[in-house]
Amino acid sequence: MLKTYVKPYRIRIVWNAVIKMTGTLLEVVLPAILAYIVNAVVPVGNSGEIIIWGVIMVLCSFGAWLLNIVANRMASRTASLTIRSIRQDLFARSLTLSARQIDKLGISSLESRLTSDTYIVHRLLSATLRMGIRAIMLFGGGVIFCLILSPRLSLVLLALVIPLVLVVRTVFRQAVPLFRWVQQKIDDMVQVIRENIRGIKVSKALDKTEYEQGRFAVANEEVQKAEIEAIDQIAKMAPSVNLILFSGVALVLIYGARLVNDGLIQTGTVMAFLSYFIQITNSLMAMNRMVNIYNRAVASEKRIAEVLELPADTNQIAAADQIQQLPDPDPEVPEVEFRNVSFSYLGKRNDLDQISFRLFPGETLGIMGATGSGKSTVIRLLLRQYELTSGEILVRGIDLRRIPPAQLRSLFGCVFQNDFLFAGSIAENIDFGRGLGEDRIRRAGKIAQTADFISDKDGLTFELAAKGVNLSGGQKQRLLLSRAFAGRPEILILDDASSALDFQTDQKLRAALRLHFPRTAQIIIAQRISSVRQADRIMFLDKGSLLALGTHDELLASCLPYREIAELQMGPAAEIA
Amino acid sequence: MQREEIELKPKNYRKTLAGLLKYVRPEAPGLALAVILVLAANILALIGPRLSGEAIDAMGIVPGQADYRTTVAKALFMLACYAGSAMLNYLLVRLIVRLSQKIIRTMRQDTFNKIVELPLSYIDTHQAGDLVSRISYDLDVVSQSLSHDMVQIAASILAVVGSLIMMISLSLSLSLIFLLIVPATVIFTIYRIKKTRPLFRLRSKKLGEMNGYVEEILYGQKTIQAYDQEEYFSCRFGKINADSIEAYYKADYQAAMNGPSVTLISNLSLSLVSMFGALLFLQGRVSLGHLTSFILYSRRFSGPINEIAAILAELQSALSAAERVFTLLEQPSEPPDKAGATELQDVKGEVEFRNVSFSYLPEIPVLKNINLRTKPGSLTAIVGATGSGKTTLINLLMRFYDPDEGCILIDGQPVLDVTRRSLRRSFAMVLQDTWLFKGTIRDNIAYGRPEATLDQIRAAAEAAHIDNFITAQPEGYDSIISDGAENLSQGQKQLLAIARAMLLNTPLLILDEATSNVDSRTEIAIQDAMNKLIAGRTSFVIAHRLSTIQKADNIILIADGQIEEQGTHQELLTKGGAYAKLYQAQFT
Repeated sequence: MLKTYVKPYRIRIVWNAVIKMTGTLLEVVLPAILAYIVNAVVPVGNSGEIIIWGVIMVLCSFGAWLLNIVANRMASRTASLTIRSIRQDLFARSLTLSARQIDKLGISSLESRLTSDTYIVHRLLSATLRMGIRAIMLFGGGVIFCLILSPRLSLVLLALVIPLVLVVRTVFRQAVPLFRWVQQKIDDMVQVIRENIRGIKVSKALDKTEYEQGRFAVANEEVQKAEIEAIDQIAKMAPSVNLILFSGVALVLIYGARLVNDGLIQTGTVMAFLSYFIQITNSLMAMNRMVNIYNRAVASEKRIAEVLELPADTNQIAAADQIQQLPDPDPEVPEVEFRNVSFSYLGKRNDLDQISFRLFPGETLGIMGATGSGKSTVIRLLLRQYELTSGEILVRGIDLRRIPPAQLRSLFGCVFQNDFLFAGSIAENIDFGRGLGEDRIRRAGKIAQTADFISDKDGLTFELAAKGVNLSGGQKQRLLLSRAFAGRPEILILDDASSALDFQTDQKLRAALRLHFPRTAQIIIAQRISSVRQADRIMFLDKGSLLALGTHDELLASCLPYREIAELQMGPAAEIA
Repeated sequence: MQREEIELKPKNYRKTLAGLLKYVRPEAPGLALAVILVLAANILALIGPRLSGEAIDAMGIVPGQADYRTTVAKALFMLACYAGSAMLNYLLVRLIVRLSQKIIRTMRQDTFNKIVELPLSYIDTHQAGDLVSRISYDLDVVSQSLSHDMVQIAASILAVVGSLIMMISLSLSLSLIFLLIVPATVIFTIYRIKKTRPLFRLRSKKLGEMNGYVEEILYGQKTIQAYDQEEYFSCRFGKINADSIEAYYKADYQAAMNGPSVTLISNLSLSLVSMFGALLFLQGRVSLGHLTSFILYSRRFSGPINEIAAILAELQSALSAAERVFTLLEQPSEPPDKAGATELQDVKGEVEFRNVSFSYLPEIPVLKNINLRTKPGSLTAIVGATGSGKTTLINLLMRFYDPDEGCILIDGQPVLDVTRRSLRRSFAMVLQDTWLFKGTIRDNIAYGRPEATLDQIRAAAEAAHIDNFITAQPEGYDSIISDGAENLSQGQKQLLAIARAMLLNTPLLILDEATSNVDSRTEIAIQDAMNKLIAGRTSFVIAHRLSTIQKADNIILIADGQIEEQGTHQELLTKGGAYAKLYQAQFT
């Protein structure tokens, strides 16, 4: 996945690498120059040449500085541009995922893919382009120069690298699960805090403050224990690495002394080796850091790719060879018809079982039933958010699957349970990107009984906070209703859309609906009998089955659970009224 | 993610430091040991390069001159020094993590203790996430700083100063190079920090904004699809994405200089030392070994200076994190009971509100001059629109808040004159938003009476019609309620809360009838359980069910913070006032 996104920048990256390599090379050469000065120039006693070489070293240092900065900046740019397009595509794809795909991935997981996962990949990309090339160059260059200076003395180096790599990997491998464990303990502790803040009234009422403090003390101690254990583990790293490194230095000195004594190398070479040793160790540590970033980033990259590469779900496309255009509404043809519709979310038990009903233009269908009885599922299927298990749904006589999705969607105006409001003005929230114009927005607002509070809140320009938390429940619902009305829907779907309205406003709203949308088919899901009692038909669902379908009076007479609810809500008088 | 909006600079260094010192002081002996370890480890490490140089000197320059034995001795001695230093460092890290964890654990506990002792007014006006982040995030920053920065800064200063001293002792004239390099490095570093810090702050702010947007929009995904507006929201995201990437890049662009600059200082030292060292060597003023040591010291140099700068910045954010914690710790807890407060005993249940007024925020009155009196064992139904002040009434009864004016009396005793504990223990309370914690069902029911026997708990659960459900669980009463009680339905949660209240067996009851959508069978169970709960207790019910209201001895209709009407259902209907209108709209 990353490859595809990096590809447009490949020439840039090659240049970047060349610059970085040149810059690093200028650094790597320094100890070798020192060795040359000590070995070849000093014995001749030529101070002029020493100064020339010294100036060359200074120039190399500055050259390396400049080139590295340029390369780093190029790398930042490349990484930023790449991540920008990955993130943009990922966001766009997330919005187009099907309901099933979202259910499977989970919204919070999508969120972390868009945020932390893209940061991690960003860091990896940036770090590879900056540190990665450099570390390899420092390591390779160091080794090569050592080999050139003295192949024999380089044997010490070889003896060193393997234990070094082993130690570093082992310590990390042991430490990583420990840090995960620490995180787990921290999560547990945070949960106690959250529980307490949420339940503060109860614990105060029951005088449990001290008890809760004790409960926290346990979680607190667990965190402490875990942290200490993890740090103890990772603390082994530095001393082990140092021990190996300086064993190497000692070996270089001892073996170097023998080689110098035998006239096989010169002292300047040993001096250069000491510098290269430090350089090589540092580069190994840097590479190890890279590997760790990489390991984390691979997981992130996979999580991002998983979303990007998901194919469109079957319910998001119309069968190409069978596409049919929607006719205009016809009073004789049901706007919506369910024929023996069954559906299961998980493929085990049917969440909707053999549901059939018809809804003609201008009619209202009320849906009632307990939580989980399948009310919302009915509309999800109608919107084709999920594909049916069996049966068929017809809109104006045409099978849902043959209608192009965009055309299908344009029919509906919907308000879902706890529906979505975003940070932006009231007008933007009603318009919802459709470019409807102020006139239509105002008219819709009026139907939705928003007149009073929109004028309260400085009109349409009032800025909502995220999720509309600066509005009351009733205000939110009326805004959402305005949004649905503004699109002049031909089918109106209201899922628990007026539960927070007071009863007078609810009544006015229903009257306005009858007045302004006489030919619009409506589906209303409600908890309150009063919201559906005037519907042409009420469907009562119980555990996914259709228990009763009829008018309010018919259901009172025939459907016991309906009557029980009616009595609970309206008193025994309901039957008479 | 609003962290960056918080002032990053602590406002009062001295006070914060004094606060920290209070927690650090008990660990003084351990810290003293840590200081000794730092010193010893760094001195040992400082000897190393010198010994390497001496080993080089012992090799000589011309073949056959090597003092082999000295070289080996010096090399091994060097290794021993480094090994010793490494061991000490290891012990140091282990010691420091224990010290800092002990300190932080105490701070965490104090912070948590404070949170649960705070008056409800504080909790209500602060975001839970913010309080959580004091413990999880702020204290973590302090802890990191305690365990890492303190040691690191000491070690870095020691490394710089020690290396300088060693270099001067090796060759004063060669050390002059560093007269140039050190100040240049320090000035450059400070300049860089000043330049990049606002950029990094901007970057985390922009990232925060992007996170916020993503979270917000993803939750509306289904609605966006239903309205076919995916592209519109992707476009909006495009701008926010570009902003955050640009801020990221700008910070990176400047930071791109940091790494190479550190290397430059190191390389520059190497170059200059090589050149001047070689010249001095020619004049016989410095030996090759000294030159080697010198180079090794100079390489230990650039890192720490940069490190010190980074740590100073971290210390600043640690101090401001500590300050946020201390600000919380300074908040007054719930005021103690009045001197001479008595225990509320043998409550008969006569509750009276006398001219009670209250406001959460000055100037926005919530309750205005409430007068109300209940008979022992009676049922008072409180009705009214959302926000009219129903819950506030309950908050005052439980003394989560105290009235601004007027007083509340129970059996003729002003509630301010009795202990909060005894007052609250006289009430059982079932709130709309049922609170359950992660633990067994048994513990959740017995939360208010941990000494209750299983039989008593079962009896309460039976009365609340939830016993059957519990015994059907694989672990029965020992089944764990998981995080957020997601494995329970809304109705089951309510029944558990009722069982909890049932077990308390108090003379007074507060009930906030939920209007949640549960199936009719559960609904009937809940109603029956609530009726049992109400029976025999002086009850205050925020009522939503007609049956409850009809049964009430007294209905109080609250509107706009005042009691608009009160009386029985029949009385109020006959009166034909506000209540009658409400009843018409709601139930017919």
